[in-house]
Amino acid sequence: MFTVLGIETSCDETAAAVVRLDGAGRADVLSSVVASQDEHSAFGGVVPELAARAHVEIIDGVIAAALRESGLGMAGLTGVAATAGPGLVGGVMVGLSAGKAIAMALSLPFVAVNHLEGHALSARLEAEAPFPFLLLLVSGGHCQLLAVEGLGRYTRLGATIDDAAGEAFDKTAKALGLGYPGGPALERLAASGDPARYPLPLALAGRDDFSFSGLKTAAARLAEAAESQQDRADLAASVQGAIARQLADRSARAMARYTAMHGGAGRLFVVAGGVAANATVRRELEAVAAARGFGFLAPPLRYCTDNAAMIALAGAERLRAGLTDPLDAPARPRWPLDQAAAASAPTHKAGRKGAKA
Amino acid sequence: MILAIDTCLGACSAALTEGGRLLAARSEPMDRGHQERLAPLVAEVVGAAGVAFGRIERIAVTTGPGSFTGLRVGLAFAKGLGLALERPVVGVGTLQALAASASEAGLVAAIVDARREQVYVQPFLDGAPLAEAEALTTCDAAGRLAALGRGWRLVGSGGPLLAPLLDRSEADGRLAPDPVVIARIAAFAPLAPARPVYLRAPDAKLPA
Repeated sequence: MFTVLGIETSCDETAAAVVRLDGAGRADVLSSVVASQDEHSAFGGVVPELAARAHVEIIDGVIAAALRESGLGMAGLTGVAATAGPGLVGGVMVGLSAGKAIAMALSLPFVAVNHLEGHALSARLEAEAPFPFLLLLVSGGHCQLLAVEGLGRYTRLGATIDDAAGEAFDKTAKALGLGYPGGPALERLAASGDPARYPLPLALAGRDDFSFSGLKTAAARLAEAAESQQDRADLAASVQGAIARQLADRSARAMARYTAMHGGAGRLFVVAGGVAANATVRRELEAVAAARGFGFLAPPLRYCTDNAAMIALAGAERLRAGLTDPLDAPARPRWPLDQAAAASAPTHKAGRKGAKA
Repeated sequence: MILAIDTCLGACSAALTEGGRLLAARSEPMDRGHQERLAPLVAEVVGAAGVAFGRIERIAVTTGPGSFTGLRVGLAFAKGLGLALERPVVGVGTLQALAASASEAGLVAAIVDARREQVYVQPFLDGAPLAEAEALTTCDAAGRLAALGRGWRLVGSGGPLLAPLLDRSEADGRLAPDPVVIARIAAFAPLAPARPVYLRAPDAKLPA
């Protein structure tokens, strides 16, 4: 049995959680504390230095709250896991440093967790999701399709070549004056809109990867011309529909490739990340899964958005597999789950720092 | 027993002291990589002293000014230790520690090159601060010190920048405070939550 403290500080949530993984591989979330930063709303996006400053102010309080709510003290832990990337390194270093200190002081094993692996495993926090499964990770920072073969074994089946889907939601919301984060506000506005009003093209049709930057730009331009409240609602509905369509289209292609790899085994489609909370997106993805004989699973919203329970679980699963990390583990701004695919076929032009995710 | 750590400036350092006596200390010059090095370095210091972590009674950490990332690494690490050991974390100003590392007698100015033609500066008389730490242009810093007195001992990476402006022929250009001095300052400091000291607003512009 593994009882792990998880720490997450890679974006604008300071989070800590305690998760217990039993011998049968069943997870029990004993506590999950998430403190969302509101410093960024005026800037229309996350400001890295502001985020890092906020993390270090409250990191100890958040960890203490998670330990208290778990009903266990430090003495009840058998391991410590902290997000080491990918993400905003200034913030990552805060949680990583605190986690290392706790592990060292208590002589506990330490795990430097890939944030994306946390998302990949998040469905296993509250449901059975045996390996392998097909994963769509879709959030404000990430958008990719992965065949999850097992712990640490991921095959990329598609990824965005520019923006994440959540960013298209946020930027469109911003253009419509809806504030940040804009996804939920845009969904509310779209409820009274006509999704067929503004025809928006399906980017990269016939390919496995995603692209949202063209859609984002087109939406911003249309937003300038939108005069009435109905125009704005129609635009919100049209953009939401276009995002959902592209996600569904690429998921369908990935299902075909995944089925070619696995035959009839592991026909489970898991959707993780904050965008999975959007009802239109979810409906389209559920329809794709049903049409192709895949089961559909999306973790509850509290484990879709950034949280530390998924980091604790990833840490616990790694400890169960005998995997730990040294105390000199670096913070990694870029850290693809499928390193081989990211290196051989980068979706982004390979920068000095290598593939992002 | 006090564990002191510093990752704010040009070194990664840790020291363990007891009743003013040095048990073990390490200080390694580095511009970057403090996050990676800090935990192993602390483990080495505690290991060299041959004591258990549980015997640490107080954790001292420099809180800035300095590298934003560096000061957060040290502070977050100290907070983690404090939580795990249920011991207080005491913040020590980087400039106070830097000045005291050179001398606690007479007029001493701690000056750190803050780039962008600025320095972080704080003046001390016999170890006591004469003013708060500030980020100033080199000219303003020199003017401020000249108005406060003469014969300054200039300490820190910014010392050589100010020496010619204050008619000093030399400066103590040490790149980081001595962790043993940090422990000594923390031994007598009141217990208050350790807060970061940036002296500069974050780079963030509000949209027009």
